[in-house]
Parts: sequence; C-alpha cells; structure tokens
Amino acid sequence: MLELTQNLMFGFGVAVTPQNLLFCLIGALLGTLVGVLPGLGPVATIAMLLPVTFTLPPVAALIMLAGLYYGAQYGGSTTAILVNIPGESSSVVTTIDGHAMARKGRAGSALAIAALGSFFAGCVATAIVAVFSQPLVRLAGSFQSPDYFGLLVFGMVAAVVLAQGSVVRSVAMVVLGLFFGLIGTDIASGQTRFTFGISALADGVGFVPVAMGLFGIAEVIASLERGGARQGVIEKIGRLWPTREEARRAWPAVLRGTGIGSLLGVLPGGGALISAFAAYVVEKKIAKDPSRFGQGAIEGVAAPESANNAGAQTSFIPLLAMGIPPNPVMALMLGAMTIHGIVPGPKVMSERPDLFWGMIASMWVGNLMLVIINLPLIGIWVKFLQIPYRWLYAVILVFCCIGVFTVNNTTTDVLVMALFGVFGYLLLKIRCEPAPLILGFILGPMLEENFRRALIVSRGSWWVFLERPICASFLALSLLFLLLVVLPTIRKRREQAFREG
Amino acid sequence: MAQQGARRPEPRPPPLADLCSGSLFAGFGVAILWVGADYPLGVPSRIGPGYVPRLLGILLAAIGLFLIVRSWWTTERIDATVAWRPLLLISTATVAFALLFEANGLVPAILVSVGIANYATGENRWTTAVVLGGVLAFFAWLLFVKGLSLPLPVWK
Repeated sequence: MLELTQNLMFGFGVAVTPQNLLFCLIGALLGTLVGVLPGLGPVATIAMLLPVTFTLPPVAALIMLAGLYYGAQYGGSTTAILVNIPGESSSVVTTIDGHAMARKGRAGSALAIAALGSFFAGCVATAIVAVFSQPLVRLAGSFQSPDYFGLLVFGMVAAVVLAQGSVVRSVAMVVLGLFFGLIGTDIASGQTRFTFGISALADGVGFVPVAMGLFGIAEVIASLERGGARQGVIEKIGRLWPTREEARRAWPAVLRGTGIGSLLGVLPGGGALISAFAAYVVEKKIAKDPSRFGQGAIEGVAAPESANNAGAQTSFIPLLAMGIPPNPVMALMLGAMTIHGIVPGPKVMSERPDLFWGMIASMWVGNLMLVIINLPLIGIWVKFLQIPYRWLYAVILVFCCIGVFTVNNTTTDVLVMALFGVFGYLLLKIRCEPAPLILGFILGPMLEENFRRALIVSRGSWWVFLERPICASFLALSLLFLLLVVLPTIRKRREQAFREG
Repeated sequence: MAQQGARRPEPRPPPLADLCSGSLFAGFGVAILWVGADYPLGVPSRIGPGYVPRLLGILLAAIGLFLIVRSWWTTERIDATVAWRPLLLISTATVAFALLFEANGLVPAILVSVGIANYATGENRWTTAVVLGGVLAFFAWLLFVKGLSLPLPVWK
C-alpha cells in the first residue's frame, strides 16, 4: 500500500509538469471534439495524430493519446443526448434515454449525470488500473511462450464472443486478420510471404493503414451513404443540476455501471462499447419498472456513460501489464509506444516508471479536466455539432491520408488504406464486424512467434499447450466461452441483449 | 421472414449473409493455401514460414465452407444496396492523394483529392471544394510542415 502511494505520488509528479498537463488538456479537448462529432472515432483520430507525437517526448505523447480515448467517451454522450445520434459508437445506448430526457427539457441534467458519472467511473477505474497492474505485471513475468499463446487465443475468443453479430463469422474475421498480420517477411526464416513480389510489402502491411482504412475511410463512405443528415439539435439545455429524485435514482446506476465497465474493459475484446451495452441491459433487467426505459430514465444515461468511461480506462491494464492490446485503440497505443522505442510488456513498469505511473496519474487529472470541459463549456461543443458533415468528411479524408503517409513516409500505405477502405465497406455490407479482424491482425505475429517458441521448447509436441497449467486454463476457458455462445439458449439471450442495446 | 416477403412483392431478395461471407472466407482460405503452397512447412520442432499460413488457410476454408452449408438454414440477408457514388469517389480521392503526393507534393494532392471527394455527396457545389481545399492545404502546411517540421514535399 505504501509502495503504491509512493508510486502514485511519483506518477502525479510526472503528470503535473506544465508540459504534460498541457498535452493532457490537448488530448482531453481533442477527445471531446472527436466524441462530439459523429463519423469521427478515436481509432482514426489517434492514427492521424501518431505523426504529431513523433516530435514529443514519449510520456507527453502517450498522456495525450490516452486523454483522447477517454475524452471521446465524455464527448460522445453530448451528441447522443442532444441530437439522438451517437457521437461515439459507445454512446449508442445513451441516445435512447438521454435524448428522451432532452425532449422533456431535461437535457441539462442528463448531460450533468453523464459527465459526473463518467468522472466517478474514471476515478475508480484509475485506482483499479493502479492497484491491479502491479500484481498482473508480476504474474506476466512468470509467463512462458505457451502461456502467452494461450492468453492470446483467449483474448481472441473473448473478442469474438463480445463482438456483435454472428460468432462464426467473427471467428473467421479473426483468422483473416491473423493472416493479414503474417504478410511480409517471416522473422525466423527471412522468407517473404504473400507479398506478390511487391517490395513495399516486404515489411508487412502496416497496422495504421489497415485500421484507418477499416475505421476511417470505410466509415466516411458509410456515413455518406446514410446521408449524414442531422436531425435537429436540441439547443435548450435547461438546468444542469439534477433534481433530488434524479440524483437518488442515478447514483446506484453509476456504481453498477462503473463495476461492469471496469470488469469488461479488462477483458480482451472489451472496452468502452461492450461495457455501455452490458450496463444498459443490466439496468433494464433490475429496474422495478422497466417500461420507464426509453421514456427518459436517468439510469439509462448514468449506467452506460459510467460504464464506457470505466471500460475505456481499464482496457489499459492488459496493454500496460502484459503488452497485449485488448482493442483497436490500445493497439494504436502499442504502436505509439513502439514508435518511441518502448517495448510494451511487463518490463515497462520497472524500466519506464515515469511513463507507467505518469500515464496512470494523468488519467485522473484528465478526468478532472473533462468534467470542466464538458459541463460549463457545453455551449461550445453544441456549436461544433452544427458543422455539416458535407464539409467534415473531406477534412477527415485529407487528415487520414497525411497521417498514414507520415507513419512510414511511404505512399504505398495510403494505397493500402484506400484498399482496406473499400474492403471495410464490403465487410459492412455482408454483415461482418471489422473489430475482430483488426485484433487478429495485431496479434497475428505475436501468436506465430509464441507458437513457434513453444514448439521449439517442447521439441515439436503440441502437448506443451496442455501441460502448462496457465496455458491449459486459458485454452479451457476459451473453449468454454465458445461452447457457451454456440449453445442455443445463451445465444438467444446474447442476441436479445444486443437488440435491446 | 416469410411474412415480410409476402408483404413486399420484390422479385428477388438480396443474397444470404452467410452465403456471401462464407464464399469470401472460403475464397481467401483457398487463395492462402494456393499462394502459400511453396512455402516450406519445416518440422514441428522448428516450424517453417509455411506452417502457420497453412493452418490458417485450412481453418478459413473450413469456416467458409461451414457458413456456406449453414446458409441453407439461416435467413439473415446482406445489405445489397451499394452507395457507388461515395464508394468510388472517396476511394479515388484517396488513391489520387497517394499518386499526386508522390509526384507533385502536398498542396496539389490536397487540392485534387478534396476536389474529387467534394462530389461524393450531391449537396456540395464546386465553390465548396475550392474554399475547403484551399483552407485545408493552408492549415496542413501550417501544422505539419511549419509547426511540426515534418519533411513533407509541399510543391514540386
């Protein structure tokens, strides 16, 4: 405990230097903006900002990018409540009751509950990250290659189970992603694979162009297809302070949302989106009068908004403790760390304590900033909502192009992005989720490497994966998860949960 | 599903989602096995560059096949409408950016790609492209070249 306090104090020392405070604020502001603007998500924005971080010290860069991710969770609720479209995918469920409240003239209190709930969740999640990272780092230190293999498999299975839509198709998407990750030179033998003689592909397909194609370009095309039309913005916000009755109903929901979000954030494949869905469903299930939901129930705003922020933050745990990114945003954070020469994994905490504890402390500071950014300054963000999408998408497109180019200084990456943009649109059309693909893509090389090493140690015997208890339990858990989802009764309930969301 | 079909007298409903995605995955699986056929498999204690791709190819082909078979029992259909205008113009604008950036530099690339992307929606006029392209080119130059001093060719 003493050690933890010391570490946190050290972290705050790092986080409150003027430079890091400034970049935390920039991250929070950009995150709010990205959250408010529909059709622009944290994945695309972080990818666009990667080149900007080249010139920054690594701590400042990562503090800014982290602020952007959880900041987007705050901003997303504003659009959800005032315009009835999610500014961020994780605010989808907030539209239901949040906008209903706004129509009843209670927009102010919905916004206030969303921001304060997010702040509470952010504080709790920061504490959880601080407390649980250390034991996890120790645990990860004892992991050997078969165990990493088991963990990676479990991560992918969890991602599939938590993804929306067909489980079988999601499994196939993971496998396809694993394959894309293998394109390029095989590290062990030096042979180039699946490059079709294109020399630019010898280093593999970059993660950034693939992610920007699937989440940036494809999203622009899909948004344009939907018309990009805005329904009227509710500009009358009303009194910010919730009534006593609203506060009484909201705070237990905030607690539950925080718990659910913190838990689901840590799971591979988890993060903000799934946390918000789960929290909403739980609130509806345990409510005495479920019919209030959809009519402006404050719990329907409080729980998911707390959950998405908690989930966004605890998803840093697997990345910081084990070097395994549980979702696309964390994969980009991993990319940002690699750019700065930091090898993500259990060693970060001992080798770069300034980075590790500084980032954790900055999350708390950032959350404090976000409450201020989002409540008193709400009027400014409402103005941004009035920028028409027909101007915005060209800006997104150009910044995607420049961002992708600058990561490796090659226009091949821009072409790869265009290709994956079209492919991503096709995937949307045939109802395949891109998120499992991107996860497989990131984990592919790690998986092959640990698989290879495990087999070297075991002299070619596959039994090694069942002999090591850690690995065997991960694999058993993966199998259990898959079986549970495939079984008919649970499948029905899962589908229902997503539909209700 | 049957009731819906009765209400809407469309002659041909869009293809089944499982059939389409299954064919895509099976196609990828077979392609992986085909292209990767020459890569050495190695031995299990020292797997070669072809080992994991072979496993993935087989897995993908098998899942694809499973989906194709399963489509017999499923009813979910794909969204068969394709927004050709944004699809073609946005992807063309991206490719144009890549080619022009390589050949002519940042400013021409921005101007032309904004000019193309401008027409991805019917709501924009040519004036939008001119103003937006000019403003974007200026700010990109200010931010990336002046501000962050990234070595980008501005105009060549």
